[in-house]
Amino acid sequence: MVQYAWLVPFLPLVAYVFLLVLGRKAAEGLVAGVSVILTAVSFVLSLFIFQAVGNNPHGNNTYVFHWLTVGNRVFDVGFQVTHLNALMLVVVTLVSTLVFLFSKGYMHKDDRFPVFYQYLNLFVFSMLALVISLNLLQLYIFWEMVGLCSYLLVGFWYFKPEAALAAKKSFIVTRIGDTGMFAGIVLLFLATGSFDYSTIFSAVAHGTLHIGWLSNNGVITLTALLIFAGAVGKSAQFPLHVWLPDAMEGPTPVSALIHAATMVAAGVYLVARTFPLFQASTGATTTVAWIGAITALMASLIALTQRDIKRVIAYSTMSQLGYMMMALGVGAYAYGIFHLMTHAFFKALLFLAAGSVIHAVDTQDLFEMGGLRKKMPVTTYTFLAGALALAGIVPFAGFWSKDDILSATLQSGHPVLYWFGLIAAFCTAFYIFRVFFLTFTGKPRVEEKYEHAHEGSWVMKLPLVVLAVFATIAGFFNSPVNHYGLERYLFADFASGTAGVVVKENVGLMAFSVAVGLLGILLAALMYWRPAFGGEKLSKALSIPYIISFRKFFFDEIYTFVIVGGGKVIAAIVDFVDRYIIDGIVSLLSWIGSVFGTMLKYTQDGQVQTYSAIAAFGVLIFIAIAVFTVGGVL
Amino acid sequence: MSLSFWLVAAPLIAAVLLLVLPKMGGAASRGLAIVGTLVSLVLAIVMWLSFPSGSTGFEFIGKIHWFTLPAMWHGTDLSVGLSFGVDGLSLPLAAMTAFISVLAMAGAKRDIDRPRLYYFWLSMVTAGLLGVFAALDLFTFLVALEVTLFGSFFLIQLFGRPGSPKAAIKFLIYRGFATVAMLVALVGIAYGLTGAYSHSGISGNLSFSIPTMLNEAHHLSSGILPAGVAGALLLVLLLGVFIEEAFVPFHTWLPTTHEYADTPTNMVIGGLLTKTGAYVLLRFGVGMLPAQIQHYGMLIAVFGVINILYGAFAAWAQKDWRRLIAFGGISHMGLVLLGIASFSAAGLQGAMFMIVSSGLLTALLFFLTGAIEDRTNTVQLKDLGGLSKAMPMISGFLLVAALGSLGLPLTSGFISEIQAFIGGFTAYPAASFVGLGGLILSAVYLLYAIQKTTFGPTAKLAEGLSDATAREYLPTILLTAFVLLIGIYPNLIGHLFGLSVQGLLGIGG
Repeated sequence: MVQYAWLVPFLPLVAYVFLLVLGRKAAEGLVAGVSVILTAVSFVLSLFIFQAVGNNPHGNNTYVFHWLTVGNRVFDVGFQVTHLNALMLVVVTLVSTLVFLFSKGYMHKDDRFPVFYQYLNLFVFSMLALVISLNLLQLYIFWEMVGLCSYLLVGFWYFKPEAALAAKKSFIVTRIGDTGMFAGIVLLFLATGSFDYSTIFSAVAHGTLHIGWLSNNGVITLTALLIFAGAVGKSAQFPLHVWLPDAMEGPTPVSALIHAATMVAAGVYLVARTFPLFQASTGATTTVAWIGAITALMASLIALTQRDIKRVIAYSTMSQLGYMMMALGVGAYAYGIFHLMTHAFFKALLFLAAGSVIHAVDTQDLFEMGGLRKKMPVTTYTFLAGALALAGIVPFAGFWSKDDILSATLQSGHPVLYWFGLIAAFCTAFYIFRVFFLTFTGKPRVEEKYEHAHEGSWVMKLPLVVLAVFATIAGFFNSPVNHYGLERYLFADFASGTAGVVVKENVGLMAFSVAVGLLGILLAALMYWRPAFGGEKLSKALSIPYIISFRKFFFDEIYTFVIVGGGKVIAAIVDFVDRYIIDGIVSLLSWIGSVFGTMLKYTQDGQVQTYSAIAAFGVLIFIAIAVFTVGGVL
Repeated sequence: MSLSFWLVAAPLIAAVLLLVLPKMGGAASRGLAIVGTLVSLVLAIVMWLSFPSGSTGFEFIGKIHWFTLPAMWHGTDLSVGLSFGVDGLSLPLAAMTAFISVLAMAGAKRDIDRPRLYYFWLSMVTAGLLGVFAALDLFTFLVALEVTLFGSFFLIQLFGRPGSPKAAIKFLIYRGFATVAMLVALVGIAYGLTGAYSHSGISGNLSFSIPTMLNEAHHLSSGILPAGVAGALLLVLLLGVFIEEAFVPFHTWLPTTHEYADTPTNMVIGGLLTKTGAYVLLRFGVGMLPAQIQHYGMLIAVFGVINILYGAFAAWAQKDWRRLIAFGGISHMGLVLLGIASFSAAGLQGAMFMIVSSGLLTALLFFLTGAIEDRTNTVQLKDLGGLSKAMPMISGFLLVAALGSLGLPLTSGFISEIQAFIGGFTAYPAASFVGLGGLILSAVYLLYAIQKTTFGPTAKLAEGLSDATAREYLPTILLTAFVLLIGIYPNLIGHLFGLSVQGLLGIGG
């Protein structure tokens, strides 16, 4: 079965090529139908592969082809299906299929409907190919390809200037991280002569990574941090997080698939995939844990005050990805991945539900919504399932995975990080229920928008329901119910049969974190559902923290001024130097040349006297030089 | 005669016919020029397919003896003539030359003034470029180089935009200096390797034959040619290469030239003529003075990084697509210097890939921006915008070209960069780390230009314009196809470059 794993990314590629051939005028039903069916087949295949890998954990899972010879080294390509990869295949294909279905309704009557599906198929292909990549080089290739698809889809409505800017920003900001990752991969190649994970991990285990100018430990820490830079960019972690909220300019299905469930999780996947490298360096794991914790907390604080429904969920995504990074940083390998999976379901759900709302009321401003529960019951209750999962309320999916992460953080001896995570959890529960209450309960704030609101067709409702089911039950995949099956499945990738921290059940901790979540929901309810006190008043009372949160800690302003501004100043200086100094000297030389030419022209006047005068002058100069030289003056 | 002789001769014959045949109209002139260069392209492909596997030397050699300078050197005669041949380095470059030239001709606008003269010079430049890459002795090489110099000069001067004569003079003076510097260096190297310090004795047979010189360099144990002399020769050669290749600070002729030349000329100059300097550095510098290249490696690497960053920052500041492409090219070729400086298999192969990649992408970018200019009468970023609506295909291909230039994987740009950086990090890690800035900056300036051109609300002047025509699809699709093909299956050119790298590193490496 595993030998057919290449078919999983191949089918979306087929769909892409097929749609490309069909062109821009193809019928919507055909375009969406082909995409959904082929991705659904990929999903079924993934399930079989998932099972096959689990049944035969030591079977051959690697297939290699020769790509390019460089000196006496060879660049290979191919595919590999580890347990981690198999899980990712299932998650990505499932969410993709549902988003493809949803988009049929959401993008209905868009001028470039077929192009949208082309890009999405190209994305799904690249994402799946990334997941089963044989080595770091190939991963990087598809890593950039998913970035390209993200760029194209964020900028899908290219005529909107904000979309154009957001697309560019997303590409460039992630490119900064990717450049670090590029260097990390190159250095690992220099140190081991290979891009292969297995070769690199065995060199890490034997301590034989060294480049002429750097020791083994130096290479491990440096390359781990450089690779992490790529993950920071892709997963929108502090300080490269600024692109993700802007990326919400793309169509909402794109936000659900790319900017919530799959691509942004690739950074987490990357750290997990290269986990042995990170584990070999305390400096690297500490960095990962802290960056994750800072992002989790900071993003949740920003999400408290945003008015745009998609931006709140986008900051939520950043925050949740921060949890996953923190988990990997403290060594909680399985729980980071577990949360990646549950998050993919409930966050895709939240985005699609938000998309359903936006589709109905044609606004993203929370304060123009309200009371939609009556008009959109399916959206309301599926969103509620997602919100409960995100808030970490038992027994919804997010409860199990988030609680595992928090417990693992505390039990591995990181109390400070634990409190970061806990405060973030409180904020999370608050902001997502703020969204819920503002959108679905109370009275409509803008009557005419409410009037037009209606539930989408079945293609939009079905994905919501399926995802809501997963958001409710996916937590049980790694729970006492199945003896922590997912954990055991993932650990099979490691020769030792385990990796990093394993959590000891602690009912007290679980109860505590649920209580924190409920407290957040209660506060949101008191402010936005059954107002005991108004949000307005509170935000006025806390004006400075409110502004800091609302203005997103001023990152955009600072970056625009310091980095973009600085770069533009340098560019302007270079341009000035180029035009007026370098080319100025050239012009000066050519001017001198032409002046000499003019002067020499006058010497050629045909007068013998002039010639003899010049000759005499020349002789004098020669004599003078000779005298000074011999005399030792020169 | 050998295939490599006809490779060079075919466009030359077409040029001569263009001069002598009476009553040649525009279509006939273009057709004749295309046939001439197409023959070269076919020959290059034939040689490619039948290139002996494992051969690290020259193949398909052909010689024409012209005259003999008697008793030039210790009583031996110096034979002067034309000789041609190709190896793993020059064959891909020659093939690219014929390829880009054919596409430049086929994609040229139909309403050119004096088409006979235009295609005559275009054919001459093509023949000259093929001669530069396929030359097997210095005399042939220098003659061919002069042909490219004068041919391009006339193309810029006679067929450029208003104001082009001044740019043409600048071009001529700069590249004239480059030729002089290279002439001095190359004759010096020939004298040093085959005349004065030949391994076969102090009074060797002075030879201008490139294979003989390479062979002598191969046998020369370090120390016979005094290091000081060799070092001075390399520095003179580098001066020539820097001007020829438009490296900072000798680059200002390039943006000016591109600003004023027309589209096909820009494709040939940007795609091909600015690759001859890198070829000279690989062939004569790395090939004949390897010890000195290593000795001055740090200098070359630092200049490489300066070019990467300077070119990228300057490109960011440009408001004109053509100047932006020119500076982008300078930035790319900086990476070639870094790869060469590393003197490693990966670095050298990366440099060779980058020459081809930059050639194809520069030609493609000039072609597409030319197509935009044909419709909008401008390539100023501030005047453009929202072209995706009126011309989705041109906009789409422009994006692909930009993505290739910024080194997106699965394009030729990426595979060049990763090899060059693997080489760079082996030898000069600090310089390479700084050079990585080019990866970020290339995304900045290219996507900025794309955003201004194809995204956003549709500019007034872009309303109601038509998309690409059949004439424009041909070069666009073929150039894009090769950018992707090399990116997806790099061994396509890698197997030839690999042979050449083996040959180069066999020497003193």
